[in-house]
Amino acid sequence: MNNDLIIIIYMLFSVAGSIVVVNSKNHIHMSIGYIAVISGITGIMFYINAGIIALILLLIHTISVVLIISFGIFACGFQVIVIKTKERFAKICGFLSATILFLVMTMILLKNDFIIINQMNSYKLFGELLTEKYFLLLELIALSILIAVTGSVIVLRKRGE
Amino acid sequence: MYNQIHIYLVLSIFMVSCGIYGVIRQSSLFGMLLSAKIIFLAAALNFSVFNHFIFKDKGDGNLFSFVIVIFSISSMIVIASFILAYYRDNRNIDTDL
Repeated sequence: MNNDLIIIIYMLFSVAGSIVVVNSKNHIHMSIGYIAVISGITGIMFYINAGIIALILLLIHTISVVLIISFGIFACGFQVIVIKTKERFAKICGFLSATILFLVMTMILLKNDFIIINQMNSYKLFGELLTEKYFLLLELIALSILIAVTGSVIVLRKRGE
Repeated sequence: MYNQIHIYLVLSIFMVSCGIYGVIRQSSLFGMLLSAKIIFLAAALNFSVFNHFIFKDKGDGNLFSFVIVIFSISSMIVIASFILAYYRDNRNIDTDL
């Protein structure tokens, strides 16, 4: 029962955060909603034995969102941003497509029965996979982060420098 | 309840739907970015959930979840820098212009 309650709380965090991110027009509110989503997902990840992913989410995503919040404050000059809303047609299309997707996927999901294998998971397996089977992928990840950081520095460099 | 896979999958479907709605609805580039990242998070959650409930003897799902998280972070760096550069030129990040 306690586990159920904790999972429900984490799920509520995720759902509420997603709704805030999607509906808010203020960058600060969006960022706070996103932090709520990350908190919920992190808790769920801890419960399903994916602690390393939860740790990465907590450490890196939270830092990135803090950066986004600081940029939001920076960009709006300590004023609340009021953004022009899109047309009503776009809102209705978005809502309909999201609702149809949710209903169809849930129906497909509930029709399937999943076979559950009861064996233990381990971090050792994760490390072995990362350093042996998917070592090239690890190198690719490192290269992509390097390119991303270098590219962002080049893009943000002031003209004339 | 926490031992049932369907609960987590419904949550991830909800998050994907929310993300798609946000990408279509939001008029701010940052709103679109965060909505897209919600979709990425839902995908990572799906991988981890399937690894935990169905393929417990393998760790591939967690590893691909790790890859999704890292790639989403690097894409976020690039997109945030583009948005910042756009803001520096136009003093606005509204997409309704």
